[in-house]
Amino acid sequence: MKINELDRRQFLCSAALGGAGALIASTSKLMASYSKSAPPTDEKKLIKRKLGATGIELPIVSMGVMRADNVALIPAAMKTGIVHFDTAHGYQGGKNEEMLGEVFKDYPRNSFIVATKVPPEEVDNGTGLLKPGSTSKAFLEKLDLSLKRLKLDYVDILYVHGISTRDAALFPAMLEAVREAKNSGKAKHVGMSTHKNEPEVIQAAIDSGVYEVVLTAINFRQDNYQEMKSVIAKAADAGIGIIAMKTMAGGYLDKERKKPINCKAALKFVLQDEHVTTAIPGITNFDQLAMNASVNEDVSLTNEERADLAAGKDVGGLYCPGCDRCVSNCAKALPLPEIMRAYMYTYGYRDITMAHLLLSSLDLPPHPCSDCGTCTVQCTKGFPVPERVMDITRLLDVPSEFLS
Amino acid sequence: MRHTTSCIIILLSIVLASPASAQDSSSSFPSFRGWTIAEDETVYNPNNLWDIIDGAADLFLEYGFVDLHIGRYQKGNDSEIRVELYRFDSEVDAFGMYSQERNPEYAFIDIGVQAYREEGVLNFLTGSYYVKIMTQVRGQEALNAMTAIAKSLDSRLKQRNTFPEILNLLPAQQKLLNSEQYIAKNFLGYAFFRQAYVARYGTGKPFRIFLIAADSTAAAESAFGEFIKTSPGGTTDTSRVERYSVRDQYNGPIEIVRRGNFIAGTVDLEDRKLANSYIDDILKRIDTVPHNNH
Repeated sequence: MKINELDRRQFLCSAALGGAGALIASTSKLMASYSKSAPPTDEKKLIKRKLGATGIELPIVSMGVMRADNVALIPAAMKTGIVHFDTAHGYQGGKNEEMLGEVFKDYPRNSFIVATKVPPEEVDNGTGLLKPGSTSKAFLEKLDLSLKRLKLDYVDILYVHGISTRDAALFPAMLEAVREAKNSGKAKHVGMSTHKNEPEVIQAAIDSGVYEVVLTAINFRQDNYQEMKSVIAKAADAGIGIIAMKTMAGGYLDKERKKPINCKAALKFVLQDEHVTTAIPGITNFDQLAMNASVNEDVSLTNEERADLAAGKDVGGLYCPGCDRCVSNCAKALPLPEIMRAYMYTYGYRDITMAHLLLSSLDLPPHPCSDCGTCTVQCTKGFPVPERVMDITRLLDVPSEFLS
Repeated sequence: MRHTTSCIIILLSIVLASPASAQDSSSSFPSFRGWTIAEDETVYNPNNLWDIIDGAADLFLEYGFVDLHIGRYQKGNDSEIRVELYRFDSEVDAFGMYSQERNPEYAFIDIGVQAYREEGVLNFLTGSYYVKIMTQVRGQEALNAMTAIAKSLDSRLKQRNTFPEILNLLPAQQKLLNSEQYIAKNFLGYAFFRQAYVARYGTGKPFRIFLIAADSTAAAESAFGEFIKTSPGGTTDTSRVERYSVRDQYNGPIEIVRRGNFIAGTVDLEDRKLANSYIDDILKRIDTVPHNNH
C-alpha cells in the first residue's frame, strides 16, 4: 500500500519535473487546446484574481521561465491562457530574457505581462544586507540592459531581486531606483522578490509605501506558513499584490531527490489563499505546462491531494536541509546532518534498514552524546539535536540481521 | 544473500550520495601577489543554492550541481574580485550548465576547456567545474588580475580540458561556432527527450541539429516511440533505420532518426533534402562509434 502510494506520487511529480514518466495523455490534451479548432483562450473559464491595487488581473497560474533553450513553450503557454511570464536579469547570463524578447516581438504588447528581477549590485550573502555599491545607477543600468534583451520599452513588473531583510527592502538607493524606474515609464509596477525571512520582507513592503507587488516563496512545507498567511492578508489589505514562487518546495521530500512531492497539489495548496494572486511554477516541458494550466480551471484539492500534502508535511518536519552550520558547533564534530537524515528515514519513511545502513557508514563513537555535559549545537531548523542523536544512534546496538 | 546484496547497494548509494564523500575543494583558491584571498564560510550545496542564486538554482540542479565555493580577492578598500567555483557531477554536466549561459558572440580566450570575457566578467569551464569570476573594478589591472586568477585556478584544479567528445558527431557544415549545448532534460519541451547535444546551423534562417545519447537501445526506442505518439501525422521510413518526418505542433519541422541508442535529427529545417543529407552525415558519424545495445 505504501509503495503504491509512493509510486503514484513519484509518477505525478517525475512528470512535473521532467523526470522519468511522460504524461502523454495530458500532453495530448494540451495539444488539443493548442490546435486551431480549440476554442479561443478567452472562452475558457479561467480563474482570475486582481494583483493588489495595480489594476492587473491574472489567471491564478503563471509561468516561471526557467530555461532559454525551448522557445516553443511560451506560445504554447499563451494558448492555454497563461499571460504572465517571470524571468530575471541573471537567468542564464541574460539568455532567458533574450529568448523572451525573441518571442514577444511577434505579439501585441497588451497580450502578455512580463516581470523581471534585477539584483542589487552588492549584497552581503551572510547578512542579506546591501553594501554601498548597491547604487540606484547600477540598478537602473541593469534594468536598461534587461529591457534591451527583452526588446521592450517597459516591463509590467520590476522586482528588486532576492531581498531577505527589512533593511535591504528599505535600502534608500533601491527605493530611489524603483521610483525612478516607474517615473521613467520603464516599469509599470515595482516590487521585491524574497525567498528568505519572507514575513519580514513583506511587512517592509507594506511599510515602504513604494512597493506594489511582492514575489514570495511560499509552500505547504514552510514551518511559518500561518505567519505567512497572516502577513499576506495584511499586504492584501494594504493593496499589495502577492505572487507565489517555490510552491513546490524544491520538488522532492528528501535530500537525495528520490521522493517527489505531488506538485499539482502543492500548487493548488498555495492558491487556496485568495490573497495570493497567482503563482509562477517553473515550467520546462509540455507535461508540466498541461498540469499547471489545468489548475487555472480547477483549483480545488481532491482528497488524494490533501492526503499527499499531509504526508509530505509530516516528513517535512523531520527534514534536515543540510546547511551544515551545526557541525562546527558540535564538540565531537559529529556528522549531524547525516544523523538527522537517519532520523528522518526512521520516523518519516519508516525505513529502519536504510537508517541503520546510513548510521553504520558514519563511523560513530558508541552513544556519541552521552558524555557531553552541555550541547553547544544550535540547529537552524530548531531540531532538538542531542535528543534525536541519542534516540536514533540506539539503532547501532541492533545487529543488522534483526532489521531484515 | 539477496538481502545482503540489496543492503550493500543501498549502503553504497547512501555513501555516494552523501556530501561527506565529495572531494574537498576548500583549498582551491590560489594566492595572488598583491591581493588577499578570503573564502566564504558557507559552502553551497543542492539544498541551499537558492540562498545565493535564487531561481537560477533550478537549472543548476538539473545539471547535477554538487557544491559552490566562493572566494574573494581584495586589494585596498574598494577592489574586489569574486570567484564562484561551481562543481558538478560530471564533465558533461558542467559543460551543459556552461553551455546554457554561453553566447556564441562572446569574446573567447584560451583558459581551461574554454573561457570568455566581458566587462567585469570572466567565466570558464574546466573539467567538472564551471568557474565565474567577476568584479566591479574596471580597467586593465583588474582584467589582468582576473585572467591570472583564472589561469592559476585552471592549473590548480587539474581537470581534463576537452569538450565532450560526442560533440564531434554533430555535422560540421554550416555549424555556428560555439553554439553547441548539452540539454540534460526536457529537450524540445518533451520529458522523454533527455541527454541531448544540440547545435545551431545555417547562414540564413537558423535551424538546429541534435543528437540524443540514450542509456540503452531500449530507452532510445521508447523515446522515439513516444515522440511519434506525441507528434502524430508524420511520415515514416523504416527501409534502413527508424526515420520519421513531421511538422511538430510546437517545434516546427522535425526530421528524426534512431540508430542503436542514438536519436538524431534536425529542427526547423524546411528543406527536407538538406535535412536528409545532414541526417545521413550524422548516421555515418554514429557508425564510427560503438552503439550501446544493452
